[in-house]
Amino acid sequence: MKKIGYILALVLEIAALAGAYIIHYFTRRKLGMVRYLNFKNMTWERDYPMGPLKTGCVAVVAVLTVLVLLFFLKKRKETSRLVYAMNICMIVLTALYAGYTLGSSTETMTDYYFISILFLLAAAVQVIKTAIAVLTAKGQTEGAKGEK
Amino acid sequence: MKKRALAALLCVTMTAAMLAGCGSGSSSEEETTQESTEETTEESTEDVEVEPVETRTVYVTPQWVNSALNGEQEGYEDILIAEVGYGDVADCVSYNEGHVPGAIYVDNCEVEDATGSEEGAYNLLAADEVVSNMLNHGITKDTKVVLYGADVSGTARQAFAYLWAGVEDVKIINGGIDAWTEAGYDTETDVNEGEAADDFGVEAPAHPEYRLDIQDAKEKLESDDNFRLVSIRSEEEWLGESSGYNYMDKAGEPEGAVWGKGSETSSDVNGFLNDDGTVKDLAGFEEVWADCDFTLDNELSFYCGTGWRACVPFLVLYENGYDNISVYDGGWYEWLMHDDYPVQVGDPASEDCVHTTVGELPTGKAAE
Repeated sequence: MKKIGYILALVLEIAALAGAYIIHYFTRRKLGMVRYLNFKNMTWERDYPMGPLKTGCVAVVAVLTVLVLLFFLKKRKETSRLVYAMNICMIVLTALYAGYTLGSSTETMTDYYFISILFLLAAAVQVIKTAIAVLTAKGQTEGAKGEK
Repeated sequence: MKKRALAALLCVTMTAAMLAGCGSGSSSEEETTQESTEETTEESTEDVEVEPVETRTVYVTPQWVNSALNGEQEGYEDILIAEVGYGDVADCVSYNEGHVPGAIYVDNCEVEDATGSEEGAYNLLAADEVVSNMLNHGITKDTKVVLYGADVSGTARQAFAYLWAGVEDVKIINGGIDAWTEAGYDTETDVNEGEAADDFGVEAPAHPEYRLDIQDAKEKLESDDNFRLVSIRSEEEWLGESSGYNYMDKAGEPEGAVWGKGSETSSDVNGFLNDDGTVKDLAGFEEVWADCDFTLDNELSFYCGTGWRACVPFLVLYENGYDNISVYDGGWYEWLMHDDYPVQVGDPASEDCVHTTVGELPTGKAAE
């Protein structure tokens, strides 16, 4: 069950990153796409506090990443290589999301919000997946100790 | 472990296939184009004498352009050909698949706002910005510019902007690259760049009268009996059934506007085109406009959604010597930004036509 969950999460992450690529691909080539994104940007900025929202999302993902990482480092001798790899992916995706969201804007990239949301999705899925892996690994270790 | 590795491999393969798919598609298209170009070159039509055209003539044949390239058109020995597209040259598929030999690439965003903000509203950029972008390509007021592009209205928009700024002789290959290759002429895939110039040669815009801003359009509608604001939009847009665009959620027309037809959707000017995709001549336009509520004696200002389609009838009348014409640049998009502006929804000749203001219009009329 856990393996299926990991695979689904991986597919979701790849779909999010591929979606970001596709949106950017068409934004560079299709005027209609740019104008639709301009419209969505203006609508969102009018209806939602986009500045605080993006800062808040980055902060939450960054804090969760640090917490999961600290927890992993505390228990790293009890976890597998896969969990180690998951943590590296988590750091990369969080850095990608935070770096892009804080370093870019709608002025530099028309598809900024859409790409930022898709990067957030990928990073959030990876953080949750890694957190589950770390926690489960801990449980398995304790279970193994208990069996002894 | 095997299952996990297999799943990871599957995902990587899917991603790689998707990315490779984009590239390989364009590559095979490129090869096909090269082959077809070679074929058409072999079948190249025999040289025939091509009639000279006036400075003010905009739509020219591929044969005329070819004869100019061959130095057979007096005064046009040094023309600058440019393909009009959207975005960076590297992203323009049509230019990279094959363009008229020697053609440079120019971007629609070099002449008009790309943000859609209240200040920009997809209107023409400030004249100094337009001029600066033209100078980067080496275009001055005296440059003989020949444009073509995949989008008939987008190309017309660029030509209109150049004329507005002050380029004295702007032409468009009627029928674009399709007409060029069908005439049997060669294409190339090298990316060309113009040699930058320093001095445009005239204060821009040299023809501010070609462009009508929103305040002038509103004032003229209210006070000038001879003025006609002509909608170059589809019937669906004209009747207020849809805005025609997925980024405009209200439908209607400025109150007092008349319909100039020409479009089947918000992204074409099919009504102004011949069966072969070339722009009709004046007689063809007069036929389209036979039962419209304006004549060519009126002062005419064309508009559409954001100012592309409207440039096509402007150019056809311009090349036929009409001076009582302009383009209301902001179109329906800018009109929508003013809640107190008057609008009509429906055929104004009908009793069902609703007269209201932008602020009172219902939303939910964006195109799907």
